[in-house]
Amino acid sequence: MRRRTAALIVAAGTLGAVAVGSGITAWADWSVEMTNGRGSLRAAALPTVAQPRAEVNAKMKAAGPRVDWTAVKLASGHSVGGYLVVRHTGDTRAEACRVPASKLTCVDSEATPGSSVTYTVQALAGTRWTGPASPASEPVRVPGKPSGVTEKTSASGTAASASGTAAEDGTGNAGAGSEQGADAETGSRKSTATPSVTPVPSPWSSAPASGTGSEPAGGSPAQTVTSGEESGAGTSG
Amino acid sequence: MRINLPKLMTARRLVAAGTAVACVWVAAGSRTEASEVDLARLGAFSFEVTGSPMEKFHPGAVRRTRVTIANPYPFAIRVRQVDARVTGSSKWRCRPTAANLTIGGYLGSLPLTVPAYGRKTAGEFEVTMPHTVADACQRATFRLAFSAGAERAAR
Repeated sequence: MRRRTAALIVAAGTLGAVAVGSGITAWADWSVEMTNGRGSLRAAALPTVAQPRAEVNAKMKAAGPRVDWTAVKLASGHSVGGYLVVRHTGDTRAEACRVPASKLTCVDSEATPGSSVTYTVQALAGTRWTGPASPASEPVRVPGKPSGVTEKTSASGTAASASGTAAEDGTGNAGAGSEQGADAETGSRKSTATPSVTPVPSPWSSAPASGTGSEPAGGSPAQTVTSGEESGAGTSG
Repeated sequence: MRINLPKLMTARRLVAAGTAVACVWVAAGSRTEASEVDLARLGAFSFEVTGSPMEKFHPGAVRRTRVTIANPYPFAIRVRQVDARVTGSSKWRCRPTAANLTIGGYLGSLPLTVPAYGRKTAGEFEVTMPHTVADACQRATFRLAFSAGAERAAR
């Protein structure tokens, strides 16, 4: 009988100890003022535009080379904000066009007549994102005479330019020859041969890029010709 | 009346041993509780707060990150507060500023009770990449920090 009592006491004591020790009965205040967790967000990158095509044909001769390219999209499937077309004349780069995403062509009216130029295209997004440059287009010769040649021709008054051939402009366009003939006769078109690289006014101010909705990709464009990832970075904050 | 002395001694020893074990256990348990409270005051207690990862952000993108809270304790906790902020990025020229990324207010309802050893979605935060985001932020990974305050839920 006493043995049984002793065993019961021991068992009860042990159970009580377990209950108390495990904290079930002790309901002390518990709070965490702050705990920290993490998350991450990865930004996309603008894609590279495929090699653009540049051409000069009879129709576009007066306006300048025409450049066209294939549209690209962001990895999320959204449209980019627009495109920047850069003219390369030798080692000189200049902005030829800046167009919204809905437009995939550019007529470069500011190219230097007579010069050989190539074009690259970069995708744009927001006000600062500029994508990598596309491969350069095949070179094209801008219709018209280089200023130096024009002056020489005008001064000498040779019959070469008056012959009406298109040999010198390299475009295979007979119309250029006849214009050159006019130069020779009048000597009054020097001003048109002086190159102007004033950037084409941005069409974005009046025609925002596509990509509207909850996640628009477009925005107003950057104001300068940029050169890859470093542009605009210094002004991030 | 005859007393079986050896048996009585054994029983007493058993009782004494049991009581000693109980005392030690209780003492240990009490110490643990006290330590837990102290640690909580020091912020050593923690539970897991995570935000769902977001990818392919671009200028103008607006998305939401879902916050999940995991409770590693054997009792329910009541979450009183959840905050989020941008703490850094993988590119040093892409700073964690409002010009590059913004996080809106908490979208959810608090307090939120998370069951013992349980996991619960605790609302969302709206994240916006403004049009002004720096060019250097292309391909950058932004680090977000979530903070939360909680207390033990009443039984």
